[in-house]
Amino acid sequence: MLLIPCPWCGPREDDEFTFGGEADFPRPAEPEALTDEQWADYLFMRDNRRGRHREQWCHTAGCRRWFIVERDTVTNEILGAGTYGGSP
Amino acid sequence: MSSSVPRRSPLGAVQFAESPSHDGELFERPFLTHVNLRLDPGDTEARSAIHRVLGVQLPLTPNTTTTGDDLTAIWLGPDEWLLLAEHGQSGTLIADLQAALAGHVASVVDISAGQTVIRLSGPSTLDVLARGCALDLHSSVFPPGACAQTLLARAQALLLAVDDTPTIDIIVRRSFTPYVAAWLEDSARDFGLRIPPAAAS
Amino acid sequence: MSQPFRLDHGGRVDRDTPLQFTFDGRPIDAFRGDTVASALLANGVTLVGRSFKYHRPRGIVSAGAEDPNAFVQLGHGARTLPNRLATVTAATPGLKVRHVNAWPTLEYDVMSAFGLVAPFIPAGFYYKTLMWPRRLWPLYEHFLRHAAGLGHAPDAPDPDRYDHVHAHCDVLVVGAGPAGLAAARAAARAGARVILADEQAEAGGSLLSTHERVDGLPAPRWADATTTELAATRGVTVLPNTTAFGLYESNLVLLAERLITDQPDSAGSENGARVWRVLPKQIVLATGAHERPLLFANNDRPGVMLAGAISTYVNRYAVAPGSRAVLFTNNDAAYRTALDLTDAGVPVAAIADVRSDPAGDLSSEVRAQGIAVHAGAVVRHAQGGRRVAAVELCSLDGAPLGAVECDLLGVSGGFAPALHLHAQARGPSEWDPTLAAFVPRGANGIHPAGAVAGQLGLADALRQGTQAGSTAAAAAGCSNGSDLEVPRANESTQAFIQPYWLPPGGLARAKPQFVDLHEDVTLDDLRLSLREGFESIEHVKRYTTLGMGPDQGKLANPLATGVIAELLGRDPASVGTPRHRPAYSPVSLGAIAGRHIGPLADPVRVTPMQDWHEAAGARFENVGQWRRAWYYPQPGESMHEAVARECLAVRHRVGILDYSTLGKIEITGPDAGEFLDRVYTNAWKRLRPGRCRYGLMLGEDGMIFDDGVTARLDDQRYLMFTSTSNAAPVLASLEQWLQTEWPDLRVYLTSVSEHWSNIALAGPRSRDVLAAAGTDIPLDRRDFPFMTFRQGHVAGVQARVFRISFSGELSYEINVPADCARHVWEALVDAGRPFGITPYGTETMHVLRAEKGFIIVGQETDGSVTPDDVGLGRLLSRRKDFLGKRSLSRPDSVRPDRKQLVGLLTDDPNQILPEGGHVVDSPGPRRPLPMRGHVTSSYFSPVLGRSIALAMVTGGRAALGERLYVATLHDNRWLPARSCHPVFYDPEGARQHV
Repeated sequence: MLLIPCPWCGPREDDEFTFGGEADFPRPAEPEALTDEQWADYLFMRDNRRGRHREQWCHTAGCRRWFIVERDTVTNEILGAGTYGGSP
Repeated sequence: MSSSVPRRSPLGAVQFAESPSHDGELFERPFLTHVNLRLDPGDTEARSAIHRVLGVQLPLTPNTTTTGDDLTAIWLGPDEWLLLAEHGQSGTLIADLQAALAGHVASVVDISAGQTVIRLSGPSTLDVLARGCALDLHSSVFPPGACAQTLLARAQALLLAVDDTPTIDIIVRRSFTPYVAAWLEDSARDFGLRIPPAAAS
Repeated sequence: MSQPFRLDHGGRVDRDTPLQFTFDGRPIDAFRGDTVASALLANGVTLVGRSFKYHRPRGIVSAGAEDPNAFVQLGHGARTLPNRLATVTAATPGLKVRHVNAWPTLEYDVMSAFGLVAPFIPAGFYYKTLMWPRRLWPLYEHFLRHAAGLGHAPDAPDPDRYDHVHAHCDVLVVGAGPAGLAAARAAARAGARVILADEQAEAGGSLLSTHERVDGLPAPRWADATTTELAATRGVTVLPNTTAFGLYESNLVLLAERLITDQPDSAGSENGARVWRVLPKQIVLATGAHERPLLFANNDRPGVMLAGAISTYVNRYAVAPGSRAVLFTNNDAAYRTALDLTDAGVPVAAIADVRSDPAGDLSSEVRAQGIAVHAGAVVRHAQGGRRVAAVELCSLDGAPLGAVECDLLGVSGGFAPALHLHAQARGPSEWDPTLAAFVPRGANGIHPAGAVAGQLGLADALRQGTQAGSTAAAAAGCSNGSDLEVPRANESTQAFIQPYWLPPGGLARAKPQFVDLHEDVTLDDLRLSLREGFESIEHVKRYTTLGMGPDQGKLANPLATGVIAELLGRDPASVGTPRHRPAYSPVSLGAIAGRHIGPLADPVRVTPMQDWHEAAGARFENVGQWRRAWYYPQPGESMHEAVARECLAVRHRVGILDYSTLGKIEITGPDAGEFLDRVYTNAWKRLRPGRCRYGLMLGEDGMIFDDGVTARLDDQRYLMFTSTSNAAPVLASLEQWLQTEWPDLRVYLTSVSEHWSNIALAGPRSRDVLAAAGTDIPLDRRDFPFMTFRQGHVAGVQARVFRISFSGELSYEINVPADCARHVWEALVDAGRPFGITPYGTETMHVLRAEKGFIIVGQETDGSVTPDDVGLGRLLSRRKDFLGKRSLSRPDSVRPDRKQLVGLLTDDPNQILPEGGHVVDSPGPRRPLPMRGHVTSSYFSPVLGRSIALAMVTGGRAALGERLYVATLHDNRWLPARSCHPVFYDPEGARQHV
């Protein structure tokens, strides 16, 4: 069981959350300007780093906010959390 | 709405003119007014307008509530609140809020029929809830006035600490209510809680 | 038999409360306070089971949870408990105890013939031998299952109570021995919220088996007093009969509490279990240590026991486990046992000590008693069949030193800290050469204390426990400045250990030396494993099944580490131990399920009309967690007949459907239109208030994600309908886009799915019904045309009425607050009676929409279907971007051979194609047949009087009318059909516009 630090509600058990994949893959401003390969990169390719990993979580059963968690994928240690705007 | 139309609460309470009486340690508080409010907490003018309508400030600290005469404002998210009013007149409250928020970016939505309140009160309240709620509800961390959205058994629930009895109000979405009530009754069995017939159906 | 091995005095058993239970039907006399094991030993029962593989006779080895042999079956019928340890099960009146692994009886086990051929079935035998011929495997398996018995499951639903409970505390103390009690006391005195859990019925651990004193009191009395003090302290929870069996990430600890009744029956005093999910701020690990066995030939004979266990039986239970003892040791601990036995009047014939110079207080005391101590000597062979009769001694280099008669052999190979929980959480540990064992190091809020931390002496354990409790409380933020008060006990010097792993060579191969008693893994098996190249301890484990029994190898694994290290000539630290995993000891499935069974297994969601549907005789189907009315059979009607009647009622008159389960999201704000433009494929900003539009939502991969109608309520408010099963995923996805990508959009989303119930009226007479039910909404087709919505009242209730249709008929979807939905439903049914109104369920809804060629997301689509694939390309805006748009021009999305939605009409109009059936061009001899597609929906259409089907077929749209065949699912037939346009009924769509 992973305790996930919701920036708003504090640490809660992981079954209150939904995982949203790796963070920092913003939607391209002009998709039509991209080549097929560039679009496929955005769509399918993720770094899946060993070690520090920034990822998106949503506190589904709580405040319904999406936020960013930094987690070590080797030790599962959670190194920090941040919001997409605003501060608790 | 014509007053002759019977309303049915999720747990089967039927309301014609007056609410059923509340007696027991586990019972439904049906037909309250539930209004979902969204606005930018940085819009202080809008918050002041709300204050004038509600008589209470919107809580800005996560997982806290503010309580006025017959209304509690409950923090749900950084830009989201639940207004829980003791009376069943959602129409006037919504109209007043909408008038006060004219010109502001905000959302006021009536969800009164979409959820209900189940009250659990008495010395074994926390023991009953601990059977299915992972949160620490000890009064040192969850004092009266605190609230939390979480999971209760396998349903989402909003918990409000009401008083030191302890009393906890559990707000559940309508379709999950029969499940949550059955689960609570089953938990309460071990503690001999009093359940009035209306809530036991 | 009347307890011939019970000592005359002493012990903590209650001699005033005798009781009787049975073992394999034989009456066993005991006292309250006995375990099943102590009572069996008191009655001279030494044979308690047969081993797993060779069916060798086995006896009680330990006095605790580490025992590899003492697994028994308790009770019978629904309440039976398999694989319970006699060493931790309380003896209760009437308890029925049976052995688990022998047939026909324990004494005469036919499988023990295996013992005679043991040299021929080494590790890996089954895998190497029974692989061939393959068709005989079921026979082999039957035989092996029978031979490798591990008790049996209850034969009826378990009536006992199982439960889960969440708990929080500042300090969780695992183990209530000297260190644990001291830690709990120190933490409680600092004001911490404390949970103290111990697997035994009484707190005290080793304190209950010792003659030492604490704070001037006999150790057991100190334990009792401290436990009483703790239990009376506010904020402290003492949990006896509770095993901490798992330690997980975030330091979540799972405890299994055996629920004890004071009215035990034949299944014993356990009447269920409670799993505690404890999330402590800090953990004191005071789990003690397990004494290590030693290797010699026939080291599994009944009568061979751990030395410390002998002391426990003598001191705590007043039982002499034998009448003449020999002790075999490599450390000081067995000397304490020798003194305990002597005190109890059991002669100790000899002590074989691996060490050449066993000096120290204890050894002098033992020698003073006249006990023969053989220094530099080992036991090499235990003689005897069902019980030890004598032991052969030899020197370390194998020179015989003669035999000594005895019926009890106590062994002590040192102590291995019970670091299982710590290791489960991947806590660090290191090899301590003075203990010859792995010792956990504190980390991440876990504080090992006492024997688990290598502190084997009582005074040291009390001191370290007090310190750990205090430190843990402080780390949890609890400190009230109270002075640390360490319970006092006599100081003792730590026993020094001479590691002894491998016996001298030259022993006959036929005499096995067991490393793992439960799994019958011998020293030779380990040698074979290493010889075949499986050198990692994890490989050894998998090759030999070392440590895989229900005892989790508690005794075997620490021994194996040393043995493998010596065989490989390596440092034990580099060999390690097999990975520790939960559960530390067996947990019943009932405890894991808790109360999540039967009606509480998963929420069943119902609409406000549920009671009405039930009273009307509806059959239900599950749609996710929802229970929806499926169809309403009249008496004597089959499903087919009921659905046909409902379909025709809608097509010719009027039907009523409970459609409350649809997801409903209010979208509010100045940018709501822009937001919809981004998430839907078509354009929304210019939709006028009061109008509705069908929308298609794609994933970024261009595949259909959801569909539904959205209405514009007013200038800045829209109401979006989602499919029932996608209600939550759609809202979550929309919130994700808003919060993470488009925070600049001034839009708020609020779910109103549960507030508004949705009642659909469908059929040519639905306007008449709505009017008859009473509404202030003008219903004339010019005032209220198709694809618009109006607000007003229906049957006296505030309502939003949408003129949208999922059946192709004139239709109104009436949204009313759920509190009043039942009233409105009944009013509509009453008003509709003169018009022949018919309630219909989800099955009829599916037939009606299939007749119209309307897709259902998740039925026609499967996450790999684009809008164009299902003929909805016209909904793709060219003038704006939307989610998934760029993907629609990827090469794969424009492949000419993509599957496309077509209709299928069978040659035989009564033939209903199987949904999921494969579509092929011709059922020729070629294999595999090239697949053209698959059937997605298939029904009998009552209004058309024939079967219809929808299918996804490659290149289907360009070849309408082609001959195709569909495979049946079970009987290997091919059903001929022709493809057609997927709209079967009213293709011009006239009926919904009337």
